[in-house]
Amino acid sequence: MKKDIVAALVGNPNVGKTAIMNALCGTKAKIGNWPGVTVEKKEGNFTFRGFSVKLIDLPGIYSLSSYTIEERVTRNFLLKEKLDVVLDIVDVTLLGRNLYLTLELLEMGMKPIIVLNKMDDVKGYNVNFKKLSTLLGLSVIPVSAYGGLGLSDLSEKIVEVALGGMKGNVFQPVYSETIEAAIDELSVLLKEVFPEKSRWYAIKIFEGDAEILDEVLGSSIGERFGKILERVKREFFERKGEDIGAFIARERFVIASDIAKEVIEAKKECENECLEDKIDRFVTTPLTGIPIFFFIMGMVFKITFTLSSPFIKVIETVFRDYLPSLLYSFEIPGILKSIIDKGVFAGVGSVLSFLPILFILYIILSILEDSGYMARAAALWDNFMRLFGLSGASVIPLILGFGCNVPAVYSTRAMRSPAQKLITMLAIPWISCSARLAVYTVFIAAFFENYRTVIVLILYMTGIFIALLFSKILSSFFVKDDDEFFIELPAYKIPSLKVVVNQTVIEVRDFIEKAGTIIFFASVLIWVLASFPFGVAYAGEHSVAGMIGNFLLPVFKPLGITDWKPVVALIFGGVAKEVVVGTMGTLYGDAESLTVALRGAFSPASAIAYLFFVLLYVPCVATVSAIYQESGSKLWVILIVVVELVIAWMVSFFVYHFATFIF
Amino acid sequence: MKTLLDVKEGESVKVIEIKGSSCFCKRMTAVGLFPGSRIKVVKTVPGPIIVDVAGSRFALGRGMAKRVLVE
Repeated sequence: MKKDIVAALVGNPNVGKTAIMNALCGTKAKIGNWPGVTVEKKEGNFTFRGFSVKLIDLPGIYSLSSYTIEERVTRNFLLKEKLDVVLDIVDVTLLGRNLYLTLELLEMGMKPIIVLNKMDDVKGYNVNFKKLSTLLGLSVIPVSAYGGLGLSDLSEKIVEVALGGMKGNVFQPVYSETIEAAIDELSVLLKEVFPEKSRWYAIKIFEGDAEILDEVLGSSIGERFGKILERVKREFFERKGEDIGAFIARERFVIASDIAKEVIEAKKECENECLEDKIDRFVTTPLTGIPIFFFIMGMVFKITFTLSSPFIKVIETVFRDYLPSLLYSFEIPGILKSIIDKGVFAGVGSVLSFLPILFILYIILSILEDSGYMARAAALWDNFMRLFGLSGASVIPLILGFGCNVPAVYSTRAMRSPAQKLITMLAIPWISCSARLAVYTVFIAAFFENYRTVIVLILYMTGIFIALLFSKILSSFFVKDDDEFFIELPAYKIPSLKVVVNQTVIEVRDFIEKAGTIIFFASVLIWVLASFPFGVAYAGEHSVAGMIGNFLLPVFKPLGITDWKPVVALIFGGVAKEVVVGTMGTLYGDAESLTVALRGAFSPASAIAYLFFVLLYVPCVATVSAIYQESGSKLWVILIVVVELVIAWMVSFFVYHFATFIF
Repeated sequence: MKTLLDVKEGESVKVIEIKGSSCFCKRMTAVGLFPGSRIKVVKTVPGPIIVDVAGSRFALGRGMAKRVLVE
């Protein structure tokens, strides 16, 4: 008997597909991209009565028109993959709109299980789901992913349908006479080549589906079909004064709304001024919305750093002090001690030290996302961001970059326009993350104690300025698609902590698997560079790292850097930017303190130039690998690294000469 | 011709026509925005327009809103 079941989840954006997947699979999920496109693909697993069920979460879409990448991905997946069950997730509070997609699935020949989600939110009225089931000829399962309602019924139904299939006839939308006549006319011819899909193909071609039209035109009936299509469309237009495709879509929406009206009993709509209207206006009008936005973002960072710092301290103590001292108490060869301490411990330590920030930031972020605020923040900033070729959706990723670039890059997943997603992703590394602040702090303490705030502010502003300028330039290379701002503002709600935590665990694990290994190997590589040839002082002048430092020194001379040690620190800082400070500590180990050593090695002008270089040069390995995963392209990664190095050098050069002039 | 941009906050209006490519119109139709549908404008200037369409809420760019002709 069949033991493995494959099921796909289809539905509008914001209907809670992820929450349902979460409720069924817990943290047994993995995240990836659909092949060839930057659309997120989520898969999960659960077992039920001895069956192993694999769930595939398809991108959230409003229709199957193949207008957006998400729509194409979903449609092609449903057409080509061997699926046992299709789950159509429907937001019961927006039944009419959601049923539009359901009708399209039915036209396509699918027999989905209708999952009515958010049953908890149905208050003050009734939804007759039995009637809905009769009307559509489909199984309807009411659930609440947040409340945990109806999930076992759903699992039961999945198994039942996977084993026995869906019986009986399903509902098919019937359009007005003129449209039906036109559909029939195309169908007759289409039947010759596509016997099972003729009606659906006819409808899709009327709706302007280029992929299907090409398929038909390329077939044996292609030539005859082209002529008939043209005539039928023209005749319709002459009669009705409008494109037949628009008519079909509109009638479908009306049919969907009518079904919704029949099954919803006694729903009261908010007629004039509801509370939600007032809140929406308040948070999206700049005068009130911007202060609220900065307050919320301020809190996000405050909470993140406050909660994560004790964990980071513990991790650092364990990996820098406790484990090394334990290690050195054993009788093993020095070289082994060295690689374990400076390679393995340092590597694992730096991977782990990312986790507290990542974990907490993700949790707060999912809370903001689920509460409905994120979509409003995007609406608030859209106008401003458009000046730089970005959109409202780019704001949150860019702001997150101030905390850590890595989760910032991952958060671009939520963006819809592929071009803007890429531009945003590539702009993030210019934003000064908290690791860079660690470097500024040390240098400021040594040179510019009195100008602390001014210097930090200038560095941050430079980062923001270059990020925006870079986006503006980059966006001019992209074809302007129909990327007008359009976003759904989901109803405000209190997020479920369980769903949020599960989601975070999945994402953080994803980070450890992908970025973690890269950071770890980078750390080991750094150890190799610093230790070879054996016997030299760690990262000393005669080690490979020292030689590279000396070799590259001429490049940094114009920036006022005269010592090879800061150059080596920059190389090591590629793992994580705060490592720059640690490395200098090791290299200037004999001096009384790092402050004194820095004063010896830098002039104020070269110190400030160095800080600008640290701000702007290559993003850390974790960010680079995140960009690589999300963009799926080596080319963009190389481009951003090269551009950043060049810009960093140029800006530092300018800053150095300008500063020599002032100081 | 009156567009969505000319509607005052809190007002409900009937859509007459949506200009633009047929793809664009169909996409709007899928969320309930088409000739004949009633929509409520929740927020106008500045920035994107927020509308309520059959209980769901959307923010539309101003360029998009300009293409929606209303009564």
